[in-house]
Amino acid sequence: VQEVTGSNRMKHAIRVVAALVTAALMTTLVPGRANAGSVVAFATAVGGDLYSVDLATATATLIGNTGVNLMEGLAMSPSGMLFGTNDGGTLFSISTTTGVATSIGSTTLGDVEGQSFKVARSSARTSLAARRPFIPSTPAPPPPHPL
Amino acid sequence: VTSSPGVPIVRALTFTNSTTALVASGSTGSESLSSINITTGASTSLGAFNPASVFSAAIAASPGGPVYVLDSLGDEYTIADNGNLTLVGSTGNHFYLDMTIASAASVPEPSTFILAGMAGAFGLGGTWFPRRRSS
Repeated sequence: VQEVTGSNRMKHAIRVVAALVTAALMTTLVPGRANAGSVVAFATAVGGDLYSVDLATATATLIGNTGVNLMEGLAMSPSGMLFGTNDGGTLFSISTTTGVATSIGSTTLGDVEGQSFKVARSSARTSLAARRPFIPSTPAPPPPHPL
Repeated sequence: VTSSPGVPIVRALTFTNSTTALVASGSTGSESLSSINITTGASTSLGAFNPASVFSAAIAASPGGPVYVLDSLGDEYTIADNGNLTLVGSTGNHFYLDMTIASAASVPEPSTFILAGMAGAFGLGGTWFPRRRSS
C-alpha cells in the first residue's frame, strides 16, 4: 500500500520555503557581492553616466545618464539608496535602475567630490549615522581638470 | 568632519572601519593617499600614488577586501596602504568621478533568482512527488 500523508506534504512545503530563503540570503547578505567572487560598485563619469562595475573583472555596464555632468561624490546607504553630489554642492538621489538623478537640495559646501556613509557598530548609532552622509568640503582653488 | 589639516584637495574617500576614512587627495601627478581619524580629525599621510601618473577621484573599500580605485582613463586598480597601485584591468574609456560599493539591498541579484528557482524546483519536486511510504 502506497500512502502519501498530509504531514509529508507539509514537511516538503517547509523544505521549499527554507531552501528559497537560504538561497536568497546566501547572495544578498554580503554587501556589494552579487555572487561569489564578484564585488559590485556604482560609479559616475564625466558627462553624467552612471555605471555598475564588477570590480573582480573590471567590467563596467552603463545604467543610464544622471543628467548631471559632474556627479563627483557617490554614497550608498545600507538600505540601498544611492546619493550623489555635484560640483556645485547639490545633493541628489540617484536611481540605480535608470541612473536618473533627483535634486534633494544644496549642501552649501561648494564642490563636494567625495562622500560616504559611516555606519557605526552599535545599533543605536547605526540608524543615526547611516542617515547622515559624510561629506568633506573641498577648499579653493578649483582643480586643474574637468572635475 | 568637513576637512582635515594637511590634506590637499579631497578627490575621494571611503571608510575602512567606523573611525577611519581613506582619502585620495591632490592633483594630477601628485595625488596621494591619507587616512583620517574622523573621531579626532587627525590625518596621516600614507604615501603618494605609485605610479604617479594615475589620477583618481574614485576609491572604495570593499567589505573585508581590497580598496579599489577607478581612474581618469577608465582603468581599475587596487591600492595598498602605502599608495602602491596594482592594475586590475580597463573598464573602458571613462573619466570616473567617484564610486561606491553597492550595498546588499541595491545589488541586482540574478544569481538569487537562479538559485531560488533551482531550490524551488527541487523543493516543489519533492512536494509534488513525495517519497512513498510503504505500510
